[in-house]
Amino acid sequence: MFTGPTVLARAFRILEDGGYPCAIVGAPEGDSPCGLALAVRHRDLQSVLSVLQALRAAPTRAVSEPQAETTAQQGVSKT
Amino acid sequence: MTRSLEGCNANPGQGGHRLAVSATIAVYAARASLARLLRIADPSRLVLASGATAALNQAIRGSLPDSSAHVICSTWEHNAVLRPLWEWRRRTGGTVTIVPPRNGYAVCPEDLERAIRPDTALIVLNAASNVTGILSPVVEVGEIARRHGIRFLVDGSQVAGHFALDLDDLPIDLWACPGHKGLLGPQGVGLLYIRPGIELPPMIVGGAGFDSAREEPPAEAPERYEAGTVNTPGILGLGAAAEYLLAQDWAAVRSREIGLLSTLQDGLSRVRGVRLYTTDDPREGVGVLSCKIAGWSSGGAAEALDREFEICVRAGLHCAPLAHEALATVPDETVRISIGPFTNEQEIDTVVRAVAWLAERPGIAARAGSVPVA
Repeated sequence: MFTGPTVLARAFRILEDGGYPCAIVGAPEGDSPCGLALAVRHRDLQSVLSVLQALRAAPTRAVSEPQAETTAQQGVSKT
Repeated sequence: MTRSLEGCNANPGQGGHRLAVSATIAVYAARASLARLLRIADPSRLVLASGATAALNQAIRGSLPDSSAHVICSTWEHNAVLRPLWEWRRRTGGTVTIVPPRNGYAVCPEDLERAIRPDTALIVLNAASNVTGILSPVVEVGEIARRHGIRFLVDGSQVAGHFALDLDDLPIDLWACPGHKGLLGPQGVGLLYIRPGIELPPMIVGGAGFDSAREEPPAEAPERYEAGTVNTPGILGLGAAAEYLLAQDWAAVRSREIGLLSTLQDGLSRVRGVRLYTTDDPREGVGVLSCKIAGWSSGGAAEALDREFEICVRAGLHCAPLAHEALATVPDETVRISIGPFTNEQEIDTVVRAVAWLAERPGIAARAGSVPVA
């Protein structure tokens, strides 16, 4: 399970580039292992989660953005 | 770098406040730019270190067992490779085979393959000598290492930024380089590429900013290898340099380097009393060469070039003692001349004329207080 800030930042970039406006926000470390969370503002949140879910299944798979990456599933919060 | 100090002067990944978040995003952007430059699909496999020495130490110490084993490297290795190997050898009783050059100054892949033993745990190869500039057969050696199932570490200090590299595609496992040479970044930043699937015990452990309750360092890269506070200003500076390099025409960059190197070699080879230590074919080298000037010690010549012409070159063994043994330049040592992407033909001409000036005046060293060769 990826939890570090680098992967979170990568997820942020991929979602942004994919047309899902989002932000990295602070979160208690107990809630999110790296103390950071992705806040995503998008009507189709299921699509956002699908991207992250797919990446969680194959975290090191090299795929073209915006599909590539992350796993910060537990760092995702809906706003 | 200024933006870093003014806009996000906080610890990236360690805190959730706005400055820390800005720093996190900025450092990731720099890492992603560098990954694009070096053709690494997953930026998390690119570890940001304090320099090539730290990156090489991590790679070597993380790859070798605490018990006896065998390592192969070449004559051209820098002390950033040799000293960690000597330290490991003293500690474990392990063995290090140094493969000497053949066919001029190049390492022969077949010689290296013949050195492989059942207990060979690591092959280390300098992609280009920091003394002669001569390129090593990295691809051929990498294929040999893969065929034998041996981990392969490349010291890319002299080549990063000189070629269009594709690290994911090269047959290498680990790659280290500094940020301040061909990558044109500031000092104090270096890179270690760790191929996906390889995990090393971290050389330095400490705070990672997350999973703080665990005794163990994080399992995931790159934070596993970046304990403590990273050099955010330096990293952002290197990221900006990567963006600059990404916009370059690499064929033109390389062609220009070969042209300047050729001009420098031609010019110096015409100066009586100068001996060159480099390749005869500039296409087989990068923008570094060594020379000796008759009647001058290397230190005296370097000092005179600086004093009389404001030309900055380095004299000595260049942290590569085995290379100088192979070149038979111990104890006299050499003067190393380097060219970069901003060097021009006029500067090359100035260097050649300055060396010729020195070669015609060996006695001036004594008058100037330098040390002439007896």
